[in-house]
Amino acid sequence: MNAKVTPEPEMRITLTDEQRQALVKFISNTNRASLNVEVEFEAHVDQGAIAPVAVLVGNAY
Amino acid sequence: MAVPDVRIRKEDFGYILAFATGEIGFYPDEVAPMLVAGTATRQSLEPYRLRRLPVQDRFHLSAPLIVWFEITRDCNLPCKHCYVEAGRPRRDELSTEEVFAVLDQLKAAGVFALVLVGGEPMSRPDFLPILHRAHDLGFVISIATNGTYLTQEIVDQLPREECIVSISVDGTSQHQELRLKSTFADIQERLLLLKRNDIPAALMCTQTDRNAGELHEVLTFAEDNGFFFGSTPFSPIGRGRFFPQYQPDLSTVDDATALYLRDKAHDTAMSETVGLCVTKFLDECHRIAQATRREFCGVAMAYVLSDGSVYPCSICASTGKFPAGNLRARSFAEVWADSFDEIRDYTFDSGTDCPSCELSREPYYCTSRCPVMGEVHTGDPTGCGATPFVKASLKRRTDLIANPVR
Ligand SMILES: C[S@@+](CC[C@H](N)C(=O)[O-])C[C@H]1O[C@@H](n2cnc3c(N)ncnc32)[C@H](O)[C@@H]1O
Repeated sequence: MNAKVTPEPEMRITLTDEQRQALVKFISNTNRASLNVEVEFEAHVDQGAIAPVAVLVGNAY
Repeated sequence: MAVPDVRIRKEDFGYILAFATGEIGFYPDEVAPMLVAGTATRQSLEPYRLRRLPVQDRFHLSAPLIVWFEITRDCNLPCKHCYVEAGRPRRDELSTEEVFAVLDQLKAAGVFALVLVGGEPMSRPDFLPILHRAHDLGFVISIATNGTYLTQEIVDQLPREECIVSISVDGTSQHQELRLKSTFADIQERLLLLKRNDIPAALMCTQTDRNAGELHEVLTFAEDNGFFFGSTPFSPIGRGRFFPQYQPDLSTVDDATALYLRDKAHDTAMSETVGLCVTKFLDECHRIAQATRREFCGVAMAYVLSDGSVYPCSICASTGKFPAGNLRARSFAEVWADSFDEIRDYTFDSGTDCPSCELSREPYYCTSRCPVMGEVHTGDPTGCGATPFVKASLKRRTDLIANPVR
């Protein structure tokens, strides 16, 4: 327990067959679909949110 | 099931990718061909990672990142503070087959992480088959348990990967004061049993008005043994509403802040020892909430009760607010698509006190802009959902993070 998980940024990511099939389907659908919604604003998700007091009741790691 | 290198989910803006190593990110459609071609690496995908997401009215992800699944309300402990008011099972709880069907629906919807909760989830005779089914479906799992059912025989059957046993610990002597039929010494034994068996385990604590000192001892135990640790303040809901005296008050801000800073350091070290886990998805929920200026309940999280009813989160489930239907009548995907409109209408601009409150602005991130806690504390869903303790703690902790005392 507690050995570090080392992310290897250069390791190739292998998909399962199921994942590959789903992605192929998404790719062909994406060409047809366009985001047809009224965008109110853009949310900056590049900053890590630190929640110094998280009040969600119940707790699980 | 072998741990996949990446979990993938389609969203309006592109994809969410959750890597086995624990990183979670948002990506545009362009990354799909790279993934299919088998040429993608974490490094080659990095430049594509989205810094901004488009936000529309009633913003929500295509499915929750995390679902809390109460598999029974039955519980062998009569904890004073229990937000679930657990004890006896609910009327007409889901059968094993129905639980399996819910798990299948959550999987089909694209949910990544699952908290098996109760009541006491391990009190269900079919707990292990449910757990194994969830694990086989590929959920990242946390078991929220009181730990009292853990024996070597059960431990032998727990999954070894992507499943953390989160045991509730509410102090040293306070633990028994709140939980009546469980002691800290007993829970320590169960945790050490998990450690001997190499099962990742966490200590999850409720902070009260009087246990901050004890939680320092509990954290030391977690540090000494390599257990994860977390704590949240007591909320006066469920059975807890009869014991409002346990709510942390201003006199505990200093002790609780010291605990928070120790916890943060411990967490940084511990988080490198685990790949994906519920907490990493919860961090992502917070990132989304802060950026999109709304709570993540019903947006990136849902709560399913043991009678099949669905709510945005634990607080809504406990108080019966914002019910979103029942999985016996409609599929989870259908419920998620259109039954959360009311909660999705609330944003950080809905609170009446927020405009005059400094904690509603940078650098603060207030997680109390919750209509249910607003109503609990002020009688008005647009009122302030924070207690004086929560407000003072948020201010103190944020200021200390910005200007650490050397
Ligand atoms: C309801 S319990 C269910 C799982 C299991 N029986 C256990 O004791 O952990 C889930 C978690 O919620 C916490 N909890 C219960 N009522 C609470 C309240 N009123 N405020 C804050 N946390 C609460 C418990 O301490 C526990 O960590």
